[in-house]
Amino acid sequence: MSQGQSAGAETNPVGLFTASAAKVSMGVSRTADLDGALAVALGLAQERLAQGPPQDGLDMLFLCGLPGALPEKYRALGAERGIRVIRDGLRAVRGWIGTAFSLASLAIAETATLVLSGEGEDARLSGMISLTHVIAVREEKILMALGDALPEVQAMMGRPGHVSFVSGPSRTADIERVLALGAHGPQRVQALVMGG
Amino acid sequence: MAKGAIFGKSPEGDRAGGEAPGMGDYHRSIKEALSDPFLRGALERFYLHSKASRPQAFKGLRLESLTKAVRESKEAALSGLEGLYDRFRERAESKGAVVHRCGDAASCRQLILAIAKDNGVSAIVKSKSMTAEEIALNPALEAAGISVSETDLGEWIVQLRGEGPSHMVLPAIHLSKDEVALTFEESRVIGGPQGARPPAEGAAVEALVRAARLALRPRFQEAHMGVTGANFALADSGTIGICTNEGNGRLCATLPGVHVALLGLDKLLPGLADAANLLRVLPRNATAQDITTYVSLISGAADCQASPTGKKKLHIVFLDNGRTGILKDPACRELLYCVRCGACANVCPVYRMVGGHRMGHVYIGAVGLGLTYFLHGAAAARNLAWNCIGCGACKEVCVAGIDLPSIVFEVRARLREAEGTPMADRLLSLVLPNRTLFGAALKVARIAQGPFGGPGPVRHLPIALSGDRGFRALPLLADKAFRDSFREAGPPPVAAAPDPSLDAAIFAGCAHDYLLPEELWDAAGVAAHKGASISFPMGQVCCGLPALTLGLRGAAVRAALANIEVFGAEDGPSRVLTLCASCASHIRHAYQRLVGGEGEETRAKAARFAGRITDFATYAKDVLRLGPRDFDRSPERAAYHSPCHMSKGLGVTQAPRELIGLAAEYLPTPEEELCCGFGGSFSLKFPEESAAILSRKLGILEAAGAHTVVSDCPGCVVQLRGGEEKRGRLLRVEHLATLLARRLKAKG
Repeated sequence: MSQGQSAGAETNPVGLFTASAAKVSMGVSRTADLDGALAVALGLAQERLAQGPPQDGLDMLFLCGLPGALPEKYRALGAERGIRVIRDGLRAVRGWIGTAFSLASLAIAETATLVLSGEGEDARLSGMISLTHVIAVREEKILMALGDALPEVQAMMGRPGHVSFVSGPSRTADIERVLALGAHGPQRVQALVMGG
Repeated sequence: MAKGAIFGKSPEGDRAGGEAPGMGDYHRSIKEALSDPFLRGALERFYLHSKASRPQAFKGLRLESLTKAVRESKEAALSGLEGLYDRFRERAESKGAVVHRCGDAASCRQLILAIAKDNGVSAIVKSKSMTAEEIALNPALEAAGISVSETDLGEWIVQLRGEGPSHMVLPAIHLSKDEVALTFEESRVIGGPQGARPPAEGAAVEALVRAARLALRPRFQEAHMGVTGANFALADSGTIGICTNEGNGRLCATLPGVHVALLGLDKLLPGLADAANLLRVLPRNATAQDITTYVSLISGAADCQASPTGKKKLHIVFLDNGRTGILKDPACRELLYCVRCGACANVCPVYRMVGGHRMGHVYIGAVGLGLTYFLHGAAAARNLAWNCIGCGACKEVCVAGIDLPSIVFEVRARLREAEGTPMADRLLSLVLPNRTLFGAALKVARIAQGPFGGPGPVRHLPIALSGDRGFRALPLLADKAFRDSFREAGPPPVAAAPDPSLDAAIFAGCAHDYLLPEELWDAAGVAAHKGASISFPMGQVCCGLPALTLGLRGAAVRAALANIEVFGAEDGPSRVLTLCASCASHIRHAYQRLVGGEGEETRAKAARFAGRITDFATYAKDVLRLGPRDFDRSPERAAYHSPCHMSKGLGVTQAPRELIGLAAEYLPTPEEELCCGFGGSFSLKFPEESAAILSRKLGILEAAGAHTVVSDCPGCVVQLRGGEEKRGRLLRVEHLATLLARRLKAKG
């Protein structure tokens, strides 16, 4: 057991991840597969659009790094619901987009951390300028402790670029130490555990 | 107020009482802070919030082993620093970054300015970097016509106000939300033609954050260059790591075509396992988070559409600026272990009263006192270095286990050695380690105080010789020192069957010897009650701690040498009892270091004395084994003030409370371990702060409804009793030995 391992009662990764996520105001839900995850993302994009406030980009759902025909399927589904599914062009956005969807390479349960390999600038930006960030991770890629994740993170750092740890929505406590979510980045982060 | 303009920079003048130049301004600034109700409120909330939340963050973790891991990792990195730098440079450059190294602040500013000019930069977004504050980067860039926008919320707020950060992690913690709202209104962030709607009366924090978010978003879009700090640099992969919560660091590193990451050489680590050690402790100790929301690991140049090459122009700038000097300085090398969590400010009783603009220069808190001397020079540290009470709260909270109080004392000694010692302190330096001179000086002082005390010289020792500012009542020098009455009367008669295993030699310390001898008699009486025989070796002198806190290293060494001859000899007393937690902690922890250069035999004596010295509570509980049957228990409610040198210095926390409970009704009170504000010479150098800390302490004790306050360090007793006397209240303040002695059951 690593030194950072919490002595909490949770012994399975998803349970520990879920308990830790509550501490960082991050939602966790389960889906069967990527298709299911995208369906959740589309639903959250609609929710975000309904919440407002009205602004350019609020109707956007950014999808990245997805194989096969799924993006096309969701582009069509999105269009029916008033959601624009986009895959690039984030530099042109002046404010924020409504929703972004990302796939995490792995997750660390003890801190509710999702590890993203920032391949492609748009993919990286999407996690910074979205109001809702939906991040899916395969259940078997959720590891208990930071120490368990190091070999894989090390391998990811071998390539030029960014590796990002994300643990919940953007936050600040700079004024009177009062916590406020949504400082510069997402106000809401939803983790989706795929499989199981 | 301009950044860092407060201390040590004012011209000559203000040299009252042999103080360093600028000290008068410094005191004025401190008094201003103490009388600012908003600041006091904000700092008080911050202190209590930090204190309450930290234990939660470390719950279930083995803090000691985490600290050990950080120390070992840092030490390993520092001992191979040049190799790490070369390896980092090779790896990062192979991934498309450009790595620079700057010797000092000026060359570093020039380099970053040149990078900006080469890339035609007119607007910069910046995330929080103490290293950039250290080199005063923003003014240099702005002077060249480049606009710089801080993007960390707290940092941006202080930028709008023209201030420097008052905390390393929470730069605007000195401000209330109403002051932030006012700043935003004045800066047209809210209420102006382009700003958000003004928040309602008593602005909600969330509305302010939203206003800042909206105002800053276009800045990211328009900037050509992002400047960030970094929390670590990993040599094995050429990676820099940036921890943020807001997400501004990632935006600064991603949107503009050029990214300059500025960091101290001390941020170099071998690899990811070392970074993991850091990530486990930094957010927990800084803000009680398990992890910061974002940790960005940047390895070389990523793709970037804003750059003409399609690749980010990444410049990684390492700053030396005195760090390699600290590296070669064994007494202060641990400063480079600092992870910049800011916790040493969070727990500091002085910071709690006056905040980081007074308790810091650029770097803040206890580590700031040390770093300022090395990174900004003696002039900047000259006044600041004295503004430490020596309570040790910072050392206790430090996740790198840095011995911060010792480093502060070391800096004082160097300032004294370089700049000379005021007359009063020079006199002390002669008198303290010499019992004959000491006794003679006291006789004079005793006569001078007159029969009624009056407003004459201070009568607490050893500060009897250095003048007072008189904010609390101080006791008179005793008519007869303990050593004199002991010489005449001998030890109290042993009341029970003599038990040599309980015997102890007394180390009095100056306060008990000359000021409060009756407490020593109380302790001796309690010991005799159980059959112990008490001795008092006459060769003892002051422990030397007062000299060390005044930067009088030579005197502190001479005092240590004199005392270890008496108490550290192989055939010396096997147990040495003291009623002064400060003496005990100093003897146990500092003596061996102080005499370290004196040869093996001397070091062995110091080690023996360190092992023999015993505080009264531990002696009473573990050696005398006092129990309920020894006392006629009083119904009075007795609160405990835990002396800093008892709890943090000696690690003794339970014994005094249990003993109080044997003799009276122990009344637990909030913040029992909060410093009383004494700190020896501190209370004379900074009486305004000492009085504020004392007032906080007494307020808590009075509100709790205590009859008696018990403590076990004479400095605390003098401070608390003197404060109570001035306030005219009815709290009885006494040493633990006195409480036990007066409730001792007469032997039937």
